[in-house]
Amino acid sequence: MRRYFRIFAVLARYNFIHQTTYRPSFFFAIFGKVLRLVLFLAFADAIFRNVPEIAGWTLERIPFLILTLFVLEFLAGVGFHRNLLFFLYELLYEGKYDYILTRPVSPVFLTSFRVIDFFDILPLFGTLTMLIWYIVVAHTPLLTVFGYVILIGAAYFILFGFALILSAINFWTLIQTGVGRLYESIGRLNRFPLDVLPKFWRVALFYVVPVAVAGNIPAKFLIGTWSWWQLLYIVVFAIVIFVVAVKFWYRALRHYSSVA
Amino acid sequence: MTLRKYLKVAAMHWELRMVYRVNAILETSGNLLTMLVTLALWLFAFHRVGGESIGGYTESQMVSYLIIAGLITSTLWHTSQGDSIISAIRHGRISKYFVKPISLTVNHFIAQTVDHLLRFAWSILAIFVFLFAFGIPIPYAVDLSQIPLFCLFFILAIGIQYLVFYNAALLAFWMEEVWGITFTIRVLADIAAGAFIPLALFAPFWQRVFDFLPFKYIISIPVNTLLGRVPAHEVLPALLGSVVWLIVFAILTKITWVRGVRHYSAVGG
Repeated sequence: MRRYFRIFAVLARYNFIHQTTYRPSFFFAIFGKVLRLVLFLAFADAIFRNVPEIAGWTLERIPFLILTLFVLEFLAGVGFHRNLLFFLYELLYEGKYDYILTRPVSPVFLTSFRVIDFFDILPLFGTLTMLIWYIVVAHTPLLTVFGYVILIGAAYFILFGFALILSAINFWTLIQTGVGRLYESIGRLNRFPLDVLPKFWRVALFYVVPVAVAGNIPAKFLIGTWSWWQLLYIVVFAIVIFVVAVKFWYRALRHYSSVA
Repeated sequence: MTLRKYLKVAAMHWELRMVYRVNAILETSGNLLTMLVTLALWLFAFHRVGGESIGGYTESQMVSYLIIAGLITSTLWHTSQGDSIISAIRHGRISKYFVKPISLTVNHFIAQTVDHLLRFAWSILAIFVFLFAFGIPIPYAVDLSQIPLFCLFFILAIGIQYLVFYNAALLAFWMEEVWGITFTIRVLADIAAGAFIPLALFAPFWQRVFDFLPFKYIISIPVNTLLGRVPAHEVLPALLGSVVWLIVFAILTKITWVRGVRHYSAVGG
């Protein structure tokens, strides 16, 4: 485990140097990430200044949803997101994936964390600060915050698991950006309170394929509309989906054939 | 002769797009899903307020707005816009266009238009499937007399949208990495064009900010025109605004291209 932390630190250092070499692009990317957060808050404000309450969500509560979505988006962005959903395709297409497979580390680890995006780390700290401020102002009980942190962890592994499964498609057939963009669009559905959906879709997105975990579920826990039992279900789901995803990924890897 | 040349280029791009059609279909589906959840949200909200208008939009107008905006978004909006130009400049592949009887700008425009056609065809089909799956009735708030005006605004919108991202991509002549810049433009365009909700619903501050940007001429103005929500006295200023932005970006493209090519150097064989 310590060895992997050391490798992660080395990769982080290398990526920081590499990304800050192109400073205008780097700072524009950070600006763009922060701008998206601000515009999403403006977007939520646009909805709730016209409708006072939607399915239990109000103008006071909606920042929990938007900020949770961004915390998870930035956490995923720092590591596996682009690596699995965009860069794996490039490595396979250019025939460079052998370089990853021949390294003496887990291919899942190296494929998922090869590029560490620093323009996601800086906005992540800003978003966390805002979230903590909202939590403090809302006098959220400490136990609820503890449950929320567990849910964020579970959500991370669920999103990681989904990304692993989707990225594995590339071992059978190369799809440039479509899968990644679809993954992003589905995740960002969490900018909306998904309780507004018809019952069938609500059950599907909260329990069967819990896309809502990328924002709605942890935020609902914070505002008290998601129970501890439901939290337990999400934790169990996270463990199961992550194990299944890793096994599926390795099975898919067998279909890889080196080309260049 | 010139037209035949461009048609041939279009046919080649069409064949290429058909090889990688799943990619476009998946990306387009993501945009449509967003549209669908936005629809569900507003239908829920209208149900809550008892069928009154919200932000000046009736339920039928809101649903129509979101569907048409969703159609335009899924057709025109894709995240890799300009990436091929950036890559061509960075890797020196742009050199071949200097000796070809077709400019990079035109070639790229044709490629993108062909891509839009594929996305449009898929979007139309998918919208009907999605509306049926979610049990959303197809609304009818379109003012038929506005169709010619909508077409005019839409053609201008295609031009503005293309030139905004093309200009950003041409910055690759001076910068090795422009991803951050194109990403920021996309983020801004997503909201400021009115792709997800009508701009009239935003706080006055944001509406003033969006008024200074060209993006509202891509979705908000054409769709509101089609819904008959743009008063007659505001049509001419809106049209003028679209034309001015198009001219500004066309001039900017010309300047950026000429200066960029002067700055460009390719090595290797």
